[in-house]
Amino acid sequence: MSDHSIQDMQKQVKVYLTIFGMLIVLVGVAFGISHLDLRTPVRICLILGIALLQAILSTAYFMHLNAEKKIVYFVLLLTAVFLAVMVFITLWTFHDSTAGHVS
Amino acid sequence: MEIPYTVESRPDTGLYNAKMGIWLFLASEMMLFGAFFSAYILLRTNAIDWPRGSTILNVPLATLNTVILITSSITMIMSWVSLVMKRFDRFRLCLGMTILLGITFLIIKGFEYHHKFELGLYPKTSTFLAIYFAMTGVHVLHLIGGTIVNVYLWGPGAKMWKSDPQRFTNRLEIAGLYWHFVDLVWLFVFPTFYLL
Repeated sequence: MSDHSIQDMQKQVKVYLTIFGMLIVLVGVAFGISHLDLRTPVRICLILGIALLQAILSTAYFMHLNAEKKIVYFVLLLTAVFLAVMVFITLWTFHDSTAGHVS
Repeated sequence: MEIPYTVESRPDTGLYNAKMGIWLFLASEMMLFGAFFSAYILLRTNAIDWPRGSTILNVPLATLNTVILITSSITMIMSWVSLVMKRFDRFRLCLGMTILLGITFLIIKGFEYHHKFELGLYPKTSTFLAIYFAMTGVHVLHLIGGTIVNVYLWGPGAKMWKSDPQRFTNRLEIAGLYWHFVDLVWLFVFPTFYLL
C-alpha cells in the first residue's frame, strides 16, 4: 500500500463514489423492474443480470479485483469450476432420481 | 518468532500472507453460499407452486437494507483510504459509520423476522420460508462476524496504528474484503427472495 500516492488515492476516491452511485441506481432499477408486468423468465433474467452487474462493479472496484495478482484469479477460477460442478451434480442427481415435486 | 510476510509480499504469491489467506477463505465462502443458491434453484424449479417474494416479504424494508449495505461498503473502503492517507481521525469516523450501518441492517432484519413470527410464518411453514430463513440467517451471522471484527479494529485493535501502521492498514484491507463479500452475497440474496 505504501506505493499509493495521495493524488492516486484522491482519484480512486472519485471512482469509488461513482461506483457507489451506480450501485444505488441499479438497486432502484431492479426495484422498478420487479413492479413491471413482465413474463417471469424475462423478469428473472433482467433482475439477475442487474445483480450480476452490481457484483462485477463491487468486486472489480471495491475489492480491487481489476488489479489483483494472478494467483487470486487462479483461486477464483478454480472456485468457479468447483461451484459449477457442485451445482451441476446437485441438479443432475435430482433429475436422475424418481423423486417427485416438492411443495 | 515473528510472523513472516505481514507487510511485505511473499515472493511466490506476490501478496502478503493475510491477503492470500482471506482470498482462500472467501473462495470457501463462495462454495458455502453457492450450495445454498444451488439448493434454492433445486427447490424452486421442482416446486409445484412458488410464491412471489413481494407477497410474503417486506420489499421496501429490504430495499432500504440493500442501500444501507451498499453505503456501508463505501464507508468501509473510505476508512481504508483514510489510513493510506494517514488520516487516523477520518478512519475512525468512516469505520464507525460502517459499524453503525451494519448494526442498522441487523436491527431492520430483526424487525422483519419478528414481524414474520408474529404472523405465524416460520421456517417450517413452507419451503420458500425455510430456504429464506436459512439463507438470510447465514448471511446475518456473517454480518455479525464482520461487525465484531470491525468493532475490534475500531477499538482495541487500533492500537497497532501507533506501533505498526502498515500492518494495521493491511488488517483493515482484509476486513474490508470480507465486508464487501458479505455485501456482495446480499446483492444476490435480495433480488432472489424479494424481487423474483
